[in-house]
Amino acid sequence: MNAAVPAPARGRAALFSLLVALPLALPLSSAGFSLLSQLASAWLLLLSVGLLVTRAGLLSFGQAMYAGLAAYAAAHAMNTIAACGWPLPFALVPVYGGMFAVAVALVLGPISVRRGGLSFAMITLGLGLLVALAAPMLQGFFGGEGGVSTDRTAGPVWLGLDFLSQRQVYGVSAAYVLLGAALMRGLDGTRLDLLARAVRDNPLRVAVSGATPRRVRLQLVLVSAFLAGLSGALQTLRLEQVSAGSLGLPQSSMALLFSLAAGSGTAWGALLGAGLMVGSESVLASVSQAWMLYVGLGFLAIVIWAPQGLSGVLRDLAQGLRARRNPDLLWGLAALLLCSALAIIGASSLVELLYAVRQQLLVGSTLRLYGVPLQIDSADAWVGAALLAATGAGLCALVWRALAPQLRAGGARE
Amino acid sequence: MEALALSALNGLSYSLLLFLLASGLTLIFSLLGVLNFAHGSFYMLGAYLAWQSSQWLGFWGGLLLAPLGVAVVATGFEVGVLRRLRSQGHLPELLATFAFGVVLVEAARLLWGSGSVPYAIPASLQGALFTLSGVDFPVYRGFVMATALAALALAWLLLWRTRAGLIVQAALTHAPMTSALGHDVRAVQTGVFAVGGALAGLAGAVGGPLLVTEPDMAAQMGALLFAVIIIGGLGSLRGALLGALLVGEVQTLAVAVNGSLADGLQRLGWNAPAAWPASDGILPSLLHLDLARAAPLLPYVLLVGVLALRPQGLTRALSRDETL
Repeated sequence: MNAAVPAPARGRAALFSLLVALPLALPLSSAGFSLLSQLASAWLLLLSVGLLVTRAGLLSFGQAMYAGLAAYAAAHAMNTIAACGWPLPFALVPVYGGMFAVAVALVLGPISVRRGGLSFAMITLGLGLLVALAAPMLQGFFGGEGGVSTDRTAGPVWLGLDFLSQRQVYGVSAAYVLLGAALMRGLDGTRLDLLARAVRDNPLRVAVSGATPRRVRLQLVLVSAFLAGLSGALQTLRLEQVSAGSLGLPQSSMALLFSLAAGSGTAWGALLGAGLMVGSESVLASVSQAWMLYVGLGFLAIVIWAPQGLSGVLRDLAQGLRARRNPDLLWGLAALLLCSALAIIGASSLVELLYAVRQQLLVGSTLRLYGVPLQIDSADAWVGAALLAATGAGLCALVWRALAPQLRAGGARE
Repeated sequence: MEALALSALNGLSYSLLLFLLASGLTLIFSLLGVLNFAHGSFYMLGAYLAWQSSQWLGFWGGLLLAPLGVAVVATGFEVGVLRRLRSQGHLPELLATFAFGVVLVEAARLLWGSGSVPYAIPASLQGALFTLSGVDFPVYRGFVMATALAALALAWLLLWRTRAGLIVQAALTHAPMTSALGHDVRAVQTGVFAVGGALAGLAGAVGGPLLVTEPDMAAQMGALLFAVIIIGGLGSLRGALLGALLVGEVQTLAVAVNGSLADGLQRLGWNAPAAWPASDGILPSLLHLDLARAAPLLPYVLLVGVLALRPQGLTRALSRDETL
């Protein structure tokens, strides 16, 4: 199939590889590389979720189970290699993690793929919950409540990889990201890919044509489990610790939601989703107590106004702007962005003020928001934030009313 | 034997609470075709609203206000969000309910804090209803059973004995025809969503004092509910009842049992090897796991077991498309 890849696609693949490899050349801090490795793990997980959604129409609420089990397996593999002194580099442990996840999927997959649609979603949810709830109660493989810890520097040094720095961890993660991207490219247009799309659209016809829908689904689940396994093992490499928390429903459902919100299935869509996920789980969560509220509201907004996902919106916008060099449209979008920023700042200030009052976490009565010190017991702060939110929302509605006909006309023409 | 009967009775009250929730979820699924991921959050919201209004109006006022409040929230969500998304298939609707569930939980955390609130059984419902060989059956458990049965009876009467119920039934099976006859199917859908929400709110209001009122109750109950309706068979009320009874009884009886898998096997004449201490390895720790501790796991074990044997759930027949 690769011979038939059109030139722009090849260019985009080259750009993606460059983007993945670029940070290695930058003088980033250890925390920066750790964040990037986290991004790489999240990307692989989102890709594995998106693969099932876009190619087979399967919603998996248990993808973190595969990642988490692979993370445990990787920790045990690293401990065994270090204890027995085997000459196996830790850089290959993610492959083992991926294979382990595939083995798990071979056992659990057949239960879940018997039916597509909602049943698949529910069975993966049930299996994921079962494993996540059982893990802290079981010793041995799961290590009970405490989980399993390991030491990534205890392995043999190959090619100068001693994993002392986070930069090296990111280097290995980047290599696996490229492997994942290559796997997706390799899958494009294969018999499995086409069959999976057919099963998604009309399982009955596929069955009549002589293929078995559940076998097609199972094969795709195996591929996605491999990607999730890579993600989990890379996480072990980064954190040197696995606990039952990494298996849970929150991880699985967040991966699914971010994948769908960003518009999954492609490497770029998964990148956008992983960026948003790591951004909200690590960056936003460190700034605000209410981050989950923002994430929930953001999802709701995306589902209502951009059901095709964020990357779809961006693509449409870029196409619209390129097709009609309409300066009004550009200004309109800029105005919309500005107004929504105002509304978001106002509304989030209100939420933060409310949190500060309700949770009483604050020492004293001054809350710094967006660089502005606010007295939480003065009416000024509350009224100001409310006014800002209302003004922003009102302006947004006005701009949108002027902008919508233009956008819609553009959409119709394309 | 009496202790076992009492446990079974406790389990029955828990099962009825579960069925109160599962019936609303099933009705919504049957009519709107969307699995309401926010149902656990409606339950949580009901508990919080009941607690908050019980501060001002007493327990009974809270019990009345909570279902109404949740119904209002559910109606607003259905009209404002779900209705807009209906033309785009079920996936956006499903995601919207999921996101709304998250928003509700976080809003509760914002308004009432992350910890639990002291929503307690009122003094008039404390004490024992009767005593079986020295063990009390609390009045409140009986009250939960009575409330659930009353609400379900009311819903049953509404659905099967009134004209409005007839229209709902018609909309369930023949939506286009019902609409063609001049009935507003969209309004029926909103109504059913609101009633489902109200039932969840009521379950929260009576379940809050029985269990714990905290934001996490939404996720726990939500997951359990899915197990209940899938075990029984998605979209079947009979199935929901069967699933609720199974899950409620199994969970409650497991807590009452003292012992582990190893003890059970020992009774059958097989001793776990002494070389397997409880703290080493998956299998030994599974063997020595106390059944009471493993109780939260059992619904999901049941779920996976049932699905492995009957992918369509216990009560439903497999439709032709689903065999693929």
